[in-house]
Amino acid sequence: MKTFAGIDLGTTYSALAVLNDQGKPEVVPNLAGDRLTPSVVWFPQEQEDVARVGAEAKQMVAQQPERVVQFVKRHMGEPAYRFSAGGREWSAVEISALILRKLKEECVQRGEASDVIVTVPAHFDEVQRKATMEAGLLAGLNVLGLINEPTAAALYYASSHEMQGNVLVYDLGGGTFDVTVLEIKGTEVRILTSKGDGYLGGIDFDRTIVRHYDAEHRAAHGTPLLPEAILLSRANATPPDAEVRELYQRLLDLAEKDKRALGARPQITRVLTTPAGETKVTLTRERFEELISAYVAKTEMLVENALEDAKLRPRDVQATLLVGGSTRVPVFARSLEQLMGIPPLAVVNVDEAVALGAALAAGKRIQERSPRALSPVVSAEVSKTRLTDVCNHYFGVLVLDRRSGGHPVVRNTIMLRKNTPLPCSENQVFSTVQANQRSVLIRITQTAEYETDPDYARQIGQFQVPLPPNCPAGFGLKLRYTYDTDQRLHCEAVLANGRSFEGTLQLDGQNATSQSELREKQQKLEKFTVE
Amino acid sequence: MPIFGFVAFVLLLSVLLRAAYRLWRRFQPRRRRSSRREHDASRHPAAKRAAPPVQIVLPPVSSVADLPPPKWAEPKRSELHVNFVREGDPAKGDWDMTFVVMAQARLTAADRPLRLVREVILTTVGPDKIGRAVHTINAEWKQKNREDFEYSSRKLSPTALDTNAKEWLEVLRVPVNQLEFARRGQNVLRARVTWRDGETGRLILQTEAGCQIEVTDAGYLDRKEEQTQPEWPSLRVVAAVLHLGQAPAEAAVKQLEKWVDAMTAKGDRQPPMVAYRVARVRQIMQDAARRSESEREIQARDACRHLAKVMNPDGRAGALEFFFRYAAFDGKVTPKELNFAKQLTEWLEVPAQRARELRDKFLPVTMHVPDPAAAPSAGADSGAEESLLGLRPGMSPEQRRQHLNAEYRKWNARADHPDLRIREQARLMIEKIAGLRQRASENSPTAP
Repeated sequence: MKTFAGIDLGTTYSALAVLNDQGKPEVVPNLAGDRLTPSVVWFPQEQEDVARVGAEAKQMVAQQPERVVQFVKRHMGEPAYRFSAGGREWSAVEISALILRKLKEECVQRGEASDVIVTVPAHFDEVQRKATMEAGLLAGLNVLGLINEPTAAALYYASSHEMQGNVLVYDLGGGTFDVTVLEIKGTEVRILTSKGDGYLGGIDFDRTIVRHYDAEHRAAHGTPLLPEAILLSRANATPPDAEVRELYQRLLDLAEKDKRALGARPQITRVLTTPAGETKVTLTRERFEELISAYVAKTEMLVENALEDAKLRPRDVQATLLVGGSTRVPVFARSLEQLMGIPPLAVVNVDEAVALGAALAAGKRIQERSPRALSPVVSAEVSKTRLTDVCNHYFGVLVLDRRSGGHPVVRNTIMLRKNTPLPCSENQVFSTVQANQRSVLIRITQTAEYETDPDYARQIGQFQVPLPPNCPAGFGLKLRYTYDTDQRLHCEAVLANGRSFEGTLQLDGQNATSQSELREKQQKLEKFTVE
Repeated sequence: MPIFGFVAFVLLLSVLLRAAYRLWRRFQPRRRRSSRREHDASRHPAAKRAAPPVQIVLPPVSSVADLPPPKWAEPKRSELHVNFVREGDPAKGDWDMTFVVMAQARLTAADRPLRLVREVILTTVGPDKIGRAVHTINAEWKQKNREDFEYSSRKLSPTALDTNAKEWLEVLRVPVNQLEFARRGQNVLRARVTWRDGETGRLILQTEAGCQIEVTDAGYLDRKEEQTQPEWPSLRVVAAVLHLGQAPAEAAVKQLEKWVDAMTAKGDRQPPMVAYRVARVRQIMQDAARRSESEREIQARDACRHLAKVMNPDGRAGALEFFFRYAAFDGKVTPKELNFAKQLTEWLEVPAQRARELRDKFLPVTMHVPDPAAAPSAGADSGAEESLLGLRPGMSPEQRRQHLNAEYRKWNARADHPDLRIREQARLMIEKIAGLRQRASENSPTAP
């Protein structure tokens, strides 16, 4: 039986949720009975065409670190990223596809998911979003669209709880932090703004604890536990030395356990056994909070920035919601309460709110496309809330600016502004530079903040517009950008003579995947068994 | 009969001598290289064939407008006479001007010839006085008057009719201070320019204030002072401070050459021009290396103050950018260079915010090296970080909080940039911002 679902593709854990017969979202456990599946993939040496995803892979992180890949979400959109295992190289998209396939094939108690909504962090740019969609396609899923993680959580809370007014969603997960401010009026959920940090999450706190272990070891024995480059790297750095790799993964595992333990206990003590000898390490909750205070400061600044963008003060917010497993670290809830003046709410399991909201979003999408596909009960439940999302980034175009009075300079001109309600569209008129130009190259940019310097604007695509012959300088060209509710950007150029050209975004060259390439990758992945 | 023969001989001799004298007079201007003064206005040949004077009144400086595509000047002849009339008293500076000759050549080939102008003769004819200056453009003249002899070229957009045509302008600055003018009445300035290779030219009169008037048969054009590229004063600034006490490093000079080359490409592109500018770079650098540190600092300060007077804000920021690029050539930025950057910002009167943006772009924190002489202390580190992030003494806690939030917003937006250098810079800046924010929270009276 095919069904639709919402998938939370997380940095450390993923989950799949569907709507039950009453239209309420529920997380579907995998075959092992776990509601959360670790986003970890292991390529066993003895089975070349098998990829093991989930808890079993997580257990092998310390033992076979060179064959286990995790935190791949931090590399989505990086065309150069590759993980080598078993003589093959895997991109972040392909690894994510394996994780999605695991969920698709194992979370089948309510039917096999075929049409899905996948969540992404709010700060993900166009390149990263397209990479996520591609991962879904490679996994054999029909991706109905994407939804921001805080938006999904807000949708769930709004539909399941009586909530009105301005709400702040504080989503601190394993790898990313997002904050979204929204307004709930009746059944209308209106997103006002979202902000995020892709390098702020539970794994960063684990690494901080590992650096604490290292400091204690140095104090005791005078030698470091690990090379400094590994301790200071924030990426998913894999040490070249096998012994160091294994030690690093073991320490990360211990750090994660200690982090969770400090949530319940004020202090933990453990003994680390290394070639240099035994080191007794004590970590109090106060010391841990001091070690991660810089991360707390970052979350505070992001919250304040989000409120500023939404033109709200803390006292204008009626409720704050905690989402994501890392909000279990007490200092974040405390910091948020101090900042907002009200205690935050965590009314359900914070790990699942995003998946539950994604399932609701999937139901809405199905209802829009084929209203009769849903039963009346489910349809009524799904219709309880109406969601209005906003543009997550600034979209612009690189132009030659002659207004400065000096030499012409290249500038990034903003076309679509962030936080504009979706769908949104904007036109601007430009002109050619020289006479007899044969074409114009439209270079599309995306920025998280208002940026006119082209060096800081990320070019996400380009397309060429042919011009008529003998075109004079100053020939007019109207550029139109449209961002739809599927979070997809469309570009169109209309010439002064009336001809129009649709822009086909070719994202970053290396990211561009044609249909034939996609099919080829799909076929390669299908040869792999996901367990 | 012998008398008749003698008279005939004398007459013939006088004719021959007269012809010889005329011939000698005719060639005399080309041999002579210094200005001559002639006082006999009535006998001056130019005065006899004076064309109707063109009345010029210096127009007010208007708003910037791009020079429209030039009309191709007719007629095509090798000599051009133009008469100017200027009212006023030269002694009062009314005639304070530099005569600029612009040679324009229209070619269908990719190359263009250099040194289109062979000779310029400037003649002033007043009611009672004639002044004359002859400038033959050769290597010696160029060497002697190098400050006034400047090449610049501008490639103009091709016309619709002939897409292969390129137009080049060659500029020669010829001072008129060697001429004398009548103190009262009208003075007429004439220019006779002999072109090489039969090319045509246009004459443009430019004042010290930079207002240009082109006088052609078709009328005149005027435009606002063209913003000159800030190489020369900036080079003095750079040379004055960067290699204090040392000869310029070859690598540094090469970096400068690259930048000069790149900057030249934006405006006027011409290999000999680039080579000329590059040679100037080396010359200025070597000259500065011979000076003492205090001399260099004075030189830098004076250069900056001059720039602050004559350049607009964009130009001054460009000069500062030039310094930053040069300072970054070796991949390291020392505290001395950073401190000097602050001084330059002040002398050039560049707004602090813009200076910081330029510094963050061209001297990112990833290149900063610590001061080996400074004792490590939290206070010193914090002070340096606050300066790096633009926090000023005297800011209230709320202002500091808002400023740090704005900085975090800016750098967080760059944390995912495809360029690894920008990502790394963003990471470091975010860490510093978070650290300052965290310390501020700890010291806050409302902190738990």
